[in-house]
Amino acid sequence: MLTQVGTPVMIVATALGSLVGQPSPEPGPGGDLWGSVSCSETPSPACDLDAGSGGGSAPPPRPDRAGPRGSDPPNGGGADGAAQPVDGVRCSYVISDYEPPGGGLVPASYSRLERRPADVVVEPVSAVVREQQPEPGEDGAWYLWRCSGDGFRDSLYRPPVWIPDGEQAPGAAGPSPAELAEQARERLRLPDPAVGVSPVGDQLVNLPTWLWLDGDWAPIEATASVPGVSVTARAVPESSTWVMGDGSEVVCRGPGTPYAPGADPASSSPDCGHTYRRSSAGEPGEVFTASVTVSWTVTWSGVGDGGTFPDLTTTGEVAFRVAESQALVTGGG
Amino acid sequence: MRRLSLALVVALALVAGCSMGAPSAPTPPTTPEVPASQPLPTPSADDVAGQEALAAYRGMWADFVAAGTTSDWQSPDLGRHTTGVALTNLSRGLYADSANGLVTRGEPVLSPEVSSVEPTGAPVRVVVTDCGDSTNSLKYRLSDGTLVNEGAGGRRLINAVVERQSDGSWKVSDFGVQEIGSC
Repeated sequence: MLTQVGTPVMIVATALGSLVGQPSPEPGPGGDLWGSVSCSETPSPACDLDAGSGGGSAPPPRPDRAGPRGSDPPNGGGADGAAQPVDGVRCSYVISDYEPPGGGLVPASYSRLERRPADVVVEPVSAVVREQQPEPGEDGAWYLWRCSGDGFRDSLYRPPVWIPDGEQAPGAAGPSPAELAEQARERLRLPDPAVGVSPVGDQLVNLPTWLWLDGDWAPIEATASVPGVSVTARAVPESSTWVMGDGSEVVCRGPGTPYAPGADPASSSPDCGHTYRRSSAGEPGEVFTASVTVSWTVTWSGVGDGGTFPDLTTTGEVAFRVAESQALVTGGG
Repeated sequence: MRRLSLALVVALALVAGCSMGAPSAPTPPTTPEVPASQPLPTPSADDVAGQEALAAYRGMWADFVAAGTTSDWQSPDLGRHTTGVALTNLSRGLYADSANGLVTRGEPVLSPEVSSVEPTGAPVRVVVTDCGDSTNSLKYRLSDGTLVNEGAGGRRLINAVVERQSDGSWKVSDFGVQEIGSC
C-alpha cells in the first residue's frame, strides 16, 4: 500500500504576519543586528571594498560561505553571475508584497499578486544571481526565498529579491507545477486488485458468482515537492471491469459486495456478480482465465493550479473452475 | 561686558599671532591654555566631510536599530541618513525580519573611522570603515521573546560609502557588512 504523504503546506505571501520562524538550530540569516543586511544577504558593491587592496585581485573565499549552507544563496555569488547552484541545494521563492522605499516606483505589487495564479516559483537561480533591484519600468515582483539541501534547511526567509516576469521559465528554472505533477503521478502506488469470490473454490453452473475486491476502495494520493512547492496527484477508483473468460464482461461501479456467510447461496450479488452458464471443462487448464481491471481517474493539484491525467488501471487475474451443477451436493435449493 | 569683550579681543589677537597666514575666517575663541606652539586645527573641507560622513553613518545604524525594534521595513526614518541601495537593503533586511517574525533589541557598539575622502579639497564621497560589535544587539522571536540563536553577535567589518547629496547633506549610499569575526 501507499504511504500517503502529508498534505503540502503552502505558504502564501498574504500570511506574512504569521510566518514565525520554524525551530531550527541554525537560521540562515544570522541572529544579530546585521544578520539580515550582511553581505551574504544583501550583497552590494560596498561588500567588495577591501581596505588596502586596490581591487582587481580576487577576494578570498569567505568563511561563511563554506559548507553546504553557505554554498551559496543564489544571490550571493560572483560579480558576473557565474555562481552555480550547488548540487542538492534548492531554493524556493515566495512572492511578497515588498516594495522598496523611496518614491517613484508604482505600487503595483498587489495587482501582480492578483494576476499571478501561483504563489510560488521555483529556482529562478540565474535571475536572482543577476539582479536584486528592478530595472526602471521592468515588470516583476519581489520574492522572499530560502534554501534547503542535504542536512540543512533555512528556517528563515532571506531578504526579498527582485525577479522579473518571465525569468522563472520551466526547465531552466526547475520543475514547473505540471512537471511536478507528473512526478507525483509516477509516485502513485495503486494497489493490485485483491479478488474476492464466492463461492470459494469451484464455481457452479447456474449458481450466481459474487465478485468483489478486498481492501480499501478509496482514493490514493502521492506528492512530489521541492522546497516550497508541492503538487499532489490523486487517483480515485471508479469502476472494476471483470472479464470472466466465458466471453462475458461485467462492469461494476464499485468494489462489489462481499458475500456474507449465511446468505442464500442462490442469491445474486446486489452489484457485482456473474452466473456461469457452462462449465470450464475443456478450457485450457480446465479453468476460465478471468481478469479484473480497476479504472482510476487521476487529477493533480497544487500551487493554485490543477489538472487531469489520463485514467490509470490496475489489473489482477483469477482463474475460475466452473463445474456442472450436479456437483452441488450441499445446501438447499 | 566691557571686560569680556576686551578679553576676547586679546584672545583672538593671541590666536592670530600664533597662526600666521591662517584664513581670515573667524576662528572660534579658545581658551588661553592652548599651548602657543601648537597650530590651531582649522577644519578643512575634507575634515568637515569626514565628520558629516561619520554622523550619517552613525545615524544610519541608529535609525536601523530603532526600526528594528518593530522590524518596521517601511519606517520613513530609514531614509534620513541613507539613500539608494543602502536604503533599499536596510528595508529589505527588515522586511525579511518582519516576515520571519523577528525583532531586534539592543544597540551595537560602533567605532567608525574615515578611510578615504574623494576628491580631496572638495569631497563628495567618503568611505567609512568600522568594526561594529553586535554582541548586545540581537534578534528575538516576536512570538515568545526568545533569542533567535545564542551568541549570534560579534564583530563585523563594515565599509560604508557616504556621498554628498544635491541638497548638501551627506547620506550613506551603500554599505557592506562582513561576516562575524571579520575584524
